[in-house]
Amino acid sequence: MKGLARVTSGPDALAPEDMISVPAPRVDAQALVGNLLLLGIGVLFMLPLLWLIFSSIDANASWGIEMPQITAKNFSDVTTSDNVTSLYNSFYLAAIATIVATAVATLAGYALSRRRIPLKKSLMLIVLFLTGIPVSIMIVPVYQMYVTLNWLSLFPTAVFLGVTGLPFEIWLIKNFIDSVPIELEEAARMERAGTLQILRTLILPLALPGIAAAAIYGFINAWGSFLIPLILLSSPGDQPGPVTIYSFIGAAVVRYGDIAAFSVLYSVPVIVLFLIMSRLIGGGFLLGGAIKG
Amino acid sequence: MASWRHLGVFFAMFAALALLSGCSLPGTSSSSKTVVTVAYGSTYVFDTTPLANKWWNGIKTQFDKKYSNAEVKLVPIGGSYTDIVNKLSLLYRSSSTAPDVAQLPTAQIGEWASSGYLLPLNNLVTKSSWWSTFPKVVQSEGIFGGQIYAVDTGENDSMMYYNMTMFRKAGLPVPWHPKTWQDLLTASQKIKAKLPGVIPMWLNAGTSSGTNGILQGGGNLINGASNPTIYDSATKKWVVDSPGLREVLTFYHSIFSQGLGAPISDLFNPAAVTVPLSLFQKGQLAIAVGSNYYGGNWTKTICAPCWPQATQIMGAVPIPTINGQAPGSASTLGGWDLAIYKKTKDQTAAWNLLDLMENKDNQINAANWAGFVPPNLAYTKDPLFVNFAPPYNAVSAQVLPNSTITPSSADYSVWGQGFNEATGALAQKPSTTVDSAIGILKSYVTNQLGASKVETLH
Amino acid sequence: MARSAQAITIPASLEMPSGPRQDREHFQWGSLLLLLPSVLLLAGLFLFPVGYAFYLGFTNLALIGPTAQNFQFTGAANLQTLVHDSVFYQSLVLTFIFVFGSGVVGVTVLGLLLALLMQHAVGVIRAIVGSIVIVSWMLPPVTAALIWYAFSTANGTMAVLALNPKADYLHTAPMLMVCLANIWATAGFAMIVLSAGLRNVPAEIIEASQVEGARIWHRFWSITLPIMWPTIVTTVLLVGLLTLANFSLVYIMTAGGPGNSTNILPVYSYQQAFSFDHLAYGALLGDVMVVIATILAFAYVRVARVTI
Repeated sequence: MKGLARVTSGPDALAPEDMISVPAPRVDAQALVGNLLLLGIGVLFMLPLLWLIFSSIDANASWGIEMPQITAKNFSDVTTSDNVTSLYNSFYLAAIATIVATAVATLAGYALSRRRIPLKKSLMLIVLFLTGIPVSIMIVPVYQMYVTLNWLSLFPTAVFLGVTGLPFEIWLIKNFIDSVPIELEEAARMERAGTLQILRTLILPLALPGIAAAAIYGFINAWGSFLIPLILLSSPGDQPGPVTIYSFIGAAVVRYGDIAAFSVLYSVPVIVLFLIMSRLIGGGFLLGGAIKG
Repeated sequence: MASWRHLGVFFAMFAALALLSGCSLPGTSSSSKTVVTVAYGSTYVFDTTPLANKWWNGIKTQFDKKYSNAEVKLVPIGGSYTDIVNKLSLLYRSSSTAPDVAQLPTAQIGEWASSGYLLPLNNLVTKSSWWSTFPKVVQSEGIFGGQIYAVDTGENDSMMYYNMTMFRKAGLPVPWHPKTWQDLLTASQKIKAKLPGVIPMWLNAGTSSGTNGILQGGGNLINGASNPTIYDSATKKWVVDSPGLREVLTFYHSIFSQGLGAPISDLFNPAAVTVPLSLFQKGQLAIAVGSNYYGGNWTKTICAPCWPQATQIMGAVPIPTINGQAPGSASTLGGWDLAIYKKTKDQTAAWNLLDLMENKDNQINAANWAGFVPPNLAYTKDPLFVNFAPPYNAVSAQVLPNSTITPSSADYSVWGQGFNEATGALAQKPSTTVDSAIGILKSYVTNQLGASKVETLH
Repeated sequence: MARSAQAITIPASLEMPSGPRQDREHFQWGSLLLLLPSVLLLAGLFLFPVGYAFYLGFTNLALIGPTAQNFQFTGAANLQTLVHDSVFYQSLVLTFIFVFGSGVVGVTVLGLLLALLMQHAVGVIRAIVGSIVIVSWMLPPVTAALIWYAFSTANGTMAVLALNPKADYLHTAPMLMVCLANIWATAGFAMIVLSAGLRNVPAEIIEASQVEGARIWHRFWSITLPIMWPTIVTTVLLVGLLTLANFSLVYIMTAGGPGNSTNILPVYSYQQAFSFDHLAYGALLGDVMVVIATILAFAYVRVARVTI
């Protein structure tokens, strides 16, 4: 939790409105109400999570909420080698998806932000509305294409997962680069720096929080994906974590404790990744500046 | 502190880890042997995924050992029923991915066959030692247009379960032999009167379980009604109103309007069909129309939920027909079939695999681990099966020959959705009349399939 | 380098010029090179499948059956079915409620409230509440759906806290529950985006109004909201699109039921394609969603009056 605290309170020279960096707020009625209200919302958000936590350590877990009969058996049950492999697979899929999509989205985001491009408006709109399409309608065409190209394996599947998050990533990164001042770039151009050099030494470091935000979105998008890996992967050892969650739900048997325990394990990497990224990037909410007016 | 170089290092580590975890995966083995691929539901069909792995890995080991010139490649399909059908339909779209052998749900064998995917097996099965021991109804499951396209590898049928302790307390006879639906109703009413707080009767209702809910619920009543037709094969139309359907919905109406049914929080649960097993174990339910696997689930082997004492408490009998008309009991029938791909490279190898799966040990293990009754009448009487979950497995074997398969035609799931909406309405709003329930079924199916595809029987 | 990154990145404030600033330059062929990877990937793996799916909506393709392999173009036949499909109209209304009620209004308002409260909250409270809200957003959809199923059904936390354990809110108020679940699972995203936007409200203006004794509500209405407006509009769009595509949550919680009471378009499209085997009709319903997403995107440009 410490890491997250830092996210909201990093050093932040030009943001005096950040309450952490100014003297403690006056304890007045307004502030008290505000804090209590926030705390109340936090409690409400916590309530649904209780079932997950309780059931994961409950020997008699069911859909209902009850005092757990504490056991570690659910966790030991779900950490079979097959299930651990599925976590690896998820990680592989999500990592490749994130890297591919974030890299190409950064290039495109830069061009869309800085360059004169014919039909840019239409391009951006297409990119945008593609974000709202559910992947389920693409199953048949994508499968046909992947069979034809002999791509039914982990890497091409990961690339497809990356592409499903690509429109959103381009949108986020483009907006973030928009907020990076042009003057620095012009100075670099005077010194005859090439585009890639400018990208690497100037844009990348300055737009890093936006790129990281896009990367996290891409990772979450691929990490939670169930349908696409199920369709495109057929080898026993290739299936990712969400498919494993379904292995606790059979036609005649539902293992609630196992579902909860595995879900807890499955959620940890995403949260850890978020914390690491927050720490690396430092101050400011991750998406700070990603949105322009 | 916010050095992007750190991020670069992190990304590099990330990429390296990702690639490593990718590389560590087993590659495809190259050999000159004939590879026979077999696709199956790996998480949904068997009671637990470890048992599924045990059975299928066993098949592979046996086959690879027995046939030195061929080997099995397993193609497990995760997810639920819809996911299995979805994935199989995609695999079959290309001859490069189509499995040589596949485990298909029985409900739509006709559809798979009419897609042109399946090899007719007539010549092969007639030579087998086991086909002739299958009951007619089980054989008919895989027959489409006179050709045999698939052979069963495990069935689910249904029976009545009842709590004998509660029956004694309520002054009901033990053992119980209900002869008509009125007997079911009377017993439920007595339970309600004598044992307040207990749910008298479990009868699936609503859309959450799809056609599976009909298989393990209302379908059993339809088969025992005076006119059980769902699909009129002569006119190729779906029946949306008939005396039989009205009898069934009237029974639903009686159960739910008199407060004899389960609450909708249980009935509308996505795992509704498994709920009565826990309700029985917790002593909250008296009677259920349920599938044959309950007994197996209560054993120590499956433990879902663990209830080894069930044999002392829970009785089981066949489900009566509405007025006790012949054959005296009714049940649905559904399960999983094996089929061979039409363009398989090696028919003999594929058949050998199928034949191996149909042998006694494998069939009895499948039945015990997946909660099936074996299709082979000889195996249903084998002690290994009967004594796995006594007395329930014996009852399921007894029920098997009188059971009825669900329509194998396209759009059965649409009709099923309409029927489930009707029973769901009766369960949720007890004021729903039988007429309006029929109206729900009729308007849903008509809306989906068009007026030319539905009919009313009188 | 790191230091300057800090100094320059944070103030994405409105006083600063924003938007493309090299339009005065001529088109460069090198730009295409930068766009090429994205264009290739999107065209090959996104536009092509979507376009093909669009076409499939006008065929008789089935999941299994005689037309599984040998399907053909059937013109407007599926459109005919669509026009007469009462479930489709119901689905359209439910989709509207889900996207606007839950996504646009619910998520945005809650996200804004959270962002505002966060601004003036004590550090510890802010860190804890922020973590919980963000974790809720980051959980995989399968997990989020199962959590909410358990939360809202009988004997769930909601019913137990209402001192009525038998209450089954999921099945008595299904649409409300899936909407709440979506709000829970998406608010973290809106909170982050809007918090970033709030940093752009100049502190001096707020302080000045505080000195003048402006009421908190008045201050929000006349200062914060106008400055925040562009960010809010953007958030609305992004959240709307995320909600529209949020298939797993509703499918796992209710599968569209009871009856058709939560059968939003993505779920109905999936049901037709994969439960009823009507792949082509399912694709057509997906086509309708493409049209809706397009309308959303264009409406956004109109309302937001932004240059992109």
